Formats: sequence, C-alpha cells, structure tokens
Amino acid sequence: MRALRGTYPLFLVACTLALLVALLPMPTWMAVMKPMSLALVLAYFALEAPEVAGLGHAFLLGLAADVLYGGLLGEHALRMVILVYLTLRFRHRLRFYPIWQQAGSVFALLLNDRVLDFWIRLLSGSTWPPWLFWLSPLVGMAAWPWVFLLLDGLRLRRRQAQRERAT
Amino acid sequence: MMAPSSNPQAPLFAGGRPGTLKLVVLLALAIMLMLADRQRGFLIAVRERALILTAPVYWLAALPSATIDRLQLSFRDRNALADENRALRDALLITQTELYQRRSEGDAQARVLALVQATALDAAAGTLVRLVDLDLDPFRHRLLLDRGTEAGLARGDGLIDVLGVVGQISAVGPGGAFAILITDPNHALPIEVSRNGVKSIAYGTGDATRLALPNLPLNVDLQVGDRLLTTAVGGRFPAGIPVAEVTAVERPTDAAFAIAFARPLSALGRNRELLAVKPVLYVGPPLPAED
Repeated sequence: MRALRGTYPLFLVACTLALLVALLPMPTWMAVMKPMSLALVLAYFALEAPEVAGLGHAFLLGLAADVLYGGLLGEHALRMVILVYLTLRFRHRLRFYPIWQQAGSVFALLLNDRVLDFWIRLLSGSTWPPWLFWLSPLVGMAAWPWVFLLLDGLRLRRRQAQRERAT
Repeated sequence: MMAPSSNPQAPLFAGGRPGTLKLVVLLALAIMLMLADRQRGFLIAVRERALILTAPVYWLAALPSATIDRLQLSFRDRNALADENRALRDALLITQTELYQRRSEGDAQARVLALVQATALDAAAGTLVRLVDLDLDPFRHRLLLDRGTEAGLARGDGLIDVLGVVGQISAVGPGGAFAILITDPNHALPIEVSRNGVKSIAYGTGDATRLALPNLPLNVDLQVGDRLLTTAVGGRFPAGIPVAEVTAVERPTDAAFAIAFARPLSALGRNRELLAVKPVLYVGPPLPAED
C-alpha cells in the first residue's frame, strides 16, 4: 500500500505530461513520426508498477487523449486498453529482458498500436497517411530506454524518500 | 509489491493480473463509443463542454512556442522591423487605393441592385481570432482558436486570412474553438471560377497543397491558373473570397468526368491572425419582388 501511495502521484503527473508533450507543435514531417508518448508512459507503469496502471486507468486516460486531440471518441481508449493489456500479459517475461531487448518488445507493442490507429483512421474515412507514419514506432523504440531510466529513477527516489521518512 | 497472480479479484482501477473480462468489457465500451460517435458525432459536443477543463491544458501546451515567438519578436533586428514596417505601409497604401476603387464600384452596383429590388449586399463583418499553436493531429487538418462563444463565434462560421479561405469552425466552447481546414478530406466547399462563373465543389484531399474538383463535365471551361472564389451557395462565406488556384485539369478519355486540382491560396494553418465570418443569412436565387 505504501508503494501505491508513492507511485500514484508520479503516475498521474507522468501521464499528464505525456498528454501535453503530444500537443507540442513541430514541423509536419516531424509531427507525423513522433511517438505516442502516453503509450510509452503507460507501458512503463504497466511493467514496473501494475498496481497503478490498470486497464481502467488506461481507458480513462485514452478518453482524455480523445477529448484533447482524438478523431473519434473512444479511439485512444481502445488503443491504450489493448496496449496495457498486452504489456500486463507479457509483463513477467518483459521485466527480465535487458533494456535493448525490452525496447524491441516496445517496438512491437507500438507497431501494433500504429496498425490499430491506421485501421480506425481508414474506417472513419481518413485518407492514406504518408509513409513516415510508420516510422513512429521506431522513434518510440529509440526513446524507450530514456523514458524507462527517467521514470525508474524518479520512482525509486520517491520510494527511498518515503522509506527514510518512515524510519 | 503485490503478487499479481495471487489476487484474481482486482478492483476495477488497480492492476495485477489482467482480467480478460475487464478487457472485453472495456473494448466493447470503446467500440460502442466509436460507433456512436461516428453516427452522431457527439465528440464535438463533448469537446465543447470540456473546453472549460481542457482550455488551460491547451494553453499550457502552447506556452513554450508562444514564449519563443515573443522572444523572437523582442530580439528581432531593428532594421528588419523598420523594413517590415515600410513594406506593410506600402501594402496598406495599395490596399487603400484598391478599396476606394472597389467602393465606387460597389456604389454603382448598389444602385443597380436597388433598381432591380434584389437582396441587399451583406457587408462581411467578422471577428478577429488568433491561432493557438498546437499539434492536434498531423493527419487531420484541424486548428485550435483562442476565442470561443464569448466572442460570438458559432459552429459553421467561416475562417479567412489575408490571402483567402482557411476553413470553418467545427466546435465552439467557452474560451476556444476548433476549426476544420478546407484541405481536410471531410471538407467540401462550393466554389465559382472567377473567369467565367462556372460553379463546382472543391473537396479537401488531406494534402495541404491540393484541393480536388471531381465530377466536372469533360468539356468544362477550366484552365490552369484560373482562380476559384467562394459563392453564396452553401451560405457559409460571403461571395467572392479567393479560395484556390487551378494547378491541373485532367480529362481522361476513358472516363465520364474530368477532374481538376487546385492549390489553396490562403496560408492555411501558418497565418496566426484569422477572421471569423458569420454565415450569410439568405442563400438562393433572388426573391421575386413583393408587390
């Protein structure tokens, strides 16, 4: 329970920042390949702190993303629920991978997310996206080790501080 | 840390072992939401209501680029500013001259109109709005504006910049509004060729440099370089605002229709200052005189 109290605020702050980062303006050619920041953050917490990153939270955060910048209500919610489910499902294996191998698995997760995104776009009547669209999972894979180390550092430091306060 | 497998009855918002039932329920919920939204489009209504909460989020996300803009402005070279000032003054002079000419033409036209008892000329009145520099979705051609219901904006208002038509307002809430660009694949705009008055509809293609005019008759009088203007048909824009310039006309010999492509004249999302214009009230052929 102590771990939950320590991690929960960090989880919310990280997700809010991830939602904000996705809104930052950049040139179009860069914007089409930027990684889904919320997906990276959710994948981290599903791996390392599954007691805060459940399917329900993934759904609610996905809805928030839909209201902020989605095309259809429920689109991001669906994608985030599937991403978190897959991460939780393979969590025991993924956690003990070395970080580069973990990045490979994150690439697979993000690619799957991108394919879903592509389907939803086509079904809702959008046009074919440019080929740079498919580079986004690669960028996400490259970003994964940094996201992982950053969030892990923050989480462990919080926990340590709490333990010191308790003793 | 909890042992995930020893706790099969996890509460709804906690993690642990992923519950297949929960997954199925949430997926069904998401799919139902998407279908309902596709049918009714209520994301627009949700966005309008949610703007009270989301406007600060957008403001926060736009803060870095707004700050950079302001810094760039304050560090700009004095000479560059003087040059810009001179160029603007020249442009203003030219525009003023044109305006005076137009006004005299307008007077003449008004006299003719009064003579035939046609509908009155609606002066284009508008609200100045600014763009919030955010990336809502690089594939959908959407914008966020800094004014909303409090400035009198409404769904369906047209958006124009100095060069031409930009798009339309699709959702308005307190303190903000969303707009759809004319290049969005879901947008269509009635247009008129300035050279000869041929009317057609310009569809967005998803490409920011291209509009498509499909289903034209094979013998349509349209040339590369023709300017396309808004018409009063559709009622969203005052007539005669520049929309696009024709870049290609294709008349395939094996098809029943010709198709043309045009390049939008306005700066679309790149111009920060936009004018929101109200829909023109009366649309259609002139009414018969009432006597």
